Amino acid sequence: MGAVPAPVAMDGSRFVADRAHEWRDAAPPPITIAHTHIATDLPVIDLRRGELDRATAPHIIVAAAAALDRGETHYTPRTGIPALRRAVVIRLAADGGVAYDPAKEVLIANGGQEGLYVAVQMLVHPGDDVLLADPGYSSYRTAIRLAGGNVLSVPVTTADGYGMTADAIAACLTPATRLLILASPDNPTGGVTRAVEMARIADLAVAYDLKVLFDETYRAFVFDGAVHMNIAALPGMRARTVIVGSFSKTYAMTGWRVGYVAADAALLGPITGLKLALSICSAAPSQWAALAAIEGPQDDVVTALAEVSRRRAALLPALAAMGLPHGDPKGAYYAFADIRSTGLSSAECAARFLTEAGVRTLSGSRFGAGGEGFLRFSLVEPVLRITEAMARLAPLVAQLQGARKGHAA
Amino acid sequence: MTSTAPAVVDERDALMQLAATMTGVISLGLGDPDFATPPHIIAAAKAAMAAGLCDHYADRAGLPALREAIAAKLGRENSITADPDTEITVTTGGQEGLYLIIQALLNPGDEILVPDPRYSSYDAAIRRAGGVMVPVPTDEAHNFDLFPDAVAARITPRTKAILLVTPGNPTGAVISPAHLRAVARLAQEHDLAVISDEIYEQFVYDGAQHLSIGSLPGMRERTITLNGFSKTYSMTGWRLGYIVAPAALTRAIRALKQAVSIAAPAVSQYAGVAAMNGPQDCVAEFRTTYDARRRALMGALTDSGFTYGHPYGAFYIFANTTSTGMSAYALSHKLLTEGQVLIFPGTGFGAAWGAYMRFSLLQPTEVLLEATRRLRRVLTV
Repeated sequence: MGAVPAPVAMDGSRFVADRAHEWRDAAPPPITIAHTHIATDLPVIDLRRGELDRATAPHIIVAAAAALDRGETHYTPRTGIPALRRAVVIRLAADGGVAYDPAKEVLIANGGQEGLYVAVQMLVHPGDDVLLADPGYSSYRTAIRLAGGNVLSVPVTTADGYGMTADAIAACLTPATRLLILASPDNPTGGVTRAVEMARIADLAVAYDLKVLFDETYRAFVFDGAVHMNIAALPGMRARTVIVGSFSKTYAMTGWRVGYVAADAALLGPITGLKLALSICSAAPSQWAALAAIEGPQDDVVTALAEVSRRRAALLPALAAMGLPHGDPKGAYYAFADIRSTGLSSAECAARFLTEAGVRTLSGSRFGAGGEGFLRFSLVEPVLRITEAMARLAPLVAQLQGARKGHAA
Repeated sequence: MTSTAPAVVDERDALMQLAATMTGVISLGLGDPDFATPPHIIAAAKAAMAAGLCDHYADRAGLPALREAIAAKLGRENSITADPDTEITVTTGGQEGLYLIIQALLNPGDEILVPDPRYSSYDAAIRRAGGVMVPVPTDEAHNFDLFPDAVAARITPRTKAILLVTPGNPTGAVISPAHLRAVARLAQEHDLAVISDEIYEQFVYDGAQHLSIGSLPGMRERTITLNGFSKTYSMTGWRLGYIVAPAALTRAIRALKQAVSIAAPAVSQYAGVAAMNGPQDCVAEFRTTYDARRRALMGALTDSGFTYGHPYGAFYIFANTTSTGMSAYALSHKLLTEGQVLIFPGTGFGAAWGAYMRFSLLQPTEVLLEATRRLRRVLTV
């Protein structure tokens, strides 16, 4: 018998470029975790989603429909419709007086994700080290890797309310460090970088000549008297900061895909160039919807903030009472709870919470090595459901913690 | 900043910036159809918005209903069998689709064969991936058809893929079926991937037929078909396209899509479902209209002493300016400043094309004829 030639795969796998090899043979993990056997009859309470249970406000939809009726179905100017760029500039100016030229310093993107992708690709050279919060939003890791950069994990901890600190950054710096990615408020932790740390981080950036990618996707969601601060407004920072923001979270518009990038013209020029090569312009109906969102009544945003505030009050003390520290986060709509007292890994704990209490959470390990031992709780269900989830989890957590203590003894 | 940032300012941008400061300009520049999106598509988008279907992230690979509509269309019109679950990805425009395909396919140093002249966004996407674009010349005398020998002569051990664009931009060329079959054989002999950009497929004239290379025997496993809604349905502003690729490539493309923009806008996707499943009369009307304009402009250009490759498809005419004694850029600049007509010089489509201009057919016939009258006037002054 001669050697049988290996069959050639018909799925095109041999054509896949190295940068995409990790996805060639298996799809990336879906947000929907396989439905494991649930030992309880309880209806499942799902606290995993990254978007609130809100609808886009009616006046926004009316404005998008009116734009379609006017025939706004063609390419828009490549950096976005001028009125929307002006509105973004006005919003940024209100956040601490940082001024941008709407003609040359603002780019409307197909969602904040496109904004962060093009910004990272143009700010990171192959071989550059990039500072990123760990745990942190996983799309940044992918974008940095696709640009050929290396991630330097900056630990963020409950001790600082998951805010980034200058000391933690300084401890990570290398000669090849070129960029700091700073998201405040942050996902998955809800961390808001404190004003005093923001100022020290800005000083570090100037001293070490770092660029800063400032992600303000969750800018509207700050609580307990915390104030959203833009690092670009600090001395020496405007020329080295690229701001990425989004309409998705503030206005319940994740499906519309509208975000923005703002930076000094010298920084934004190449980013705009890549955006043109990537997608020509952003979707016209969505841009007109976003304009109505930012210029129209903000009542819906106020209502959402009040509701998230009530849900925080239902969630945060209950987690703390169970002995699951969460750092008392000041922003976003997440709590990132330390579950190490259960003795379980993140994945195991998430599975036990689901099968034994009917509560779905996200394993922290998907947000970086620093997320192992943690679970993300999203405030995407009404207060009564959150309270119910906490009531179900309390005895289970106590049992897990007790079993661990018993085992240790 | 990386050196791979695409150039923002070229001759085309210079002309567009100049035109933006002027009034009364007839633009035969951008490839943006003058027709609005058909009313039944707009009505469907508005209904989806009003029903609250557009607020949240759509399925990352594209709405299942849209992928199924695309699969049905591919079977019906292109003789391509594709599984909507594993082989079709909806993108935020054809441009994003092309970028994702190149990222999924090319390693730094990989060579990709691209017919020349070509749509310049290919250059930027290929450069960004570190790929090496190898232009395959085509010429006016052969109506810019792609010749298999010209492809074969440029295949090296580093060649990874062939990019085909038929009907083509900027020339309106349609690759002849015999040549397309020969290129398919070359791809199989050398185990190359083929990217087939079919964004202008609905617009072919004078008896030409569109043939999808992915439908040829042995090609399904190596062909990535790119298409979109912008040109077919006058939907440029909606940013909606799609990619058909074998499953492993689709997995890579979908993961890259997630990293680049998560999902295409939901409102655009619902519009796309209506476009694909609804009446297709609008497409036939567009085709008839572009054809009438094409004939009128061909006649006027011939009368003005210009030659061109016969445009069997798309909505462009790539005309030779040699008889004017001017470079295309000089002529474009003169025509804009003295005649208020914006036409892109051929250099926007490859450095070798300084003696050509791309006329787009995206204005009513009388406007096209007025543009050629101004062109003649400028040339006789």
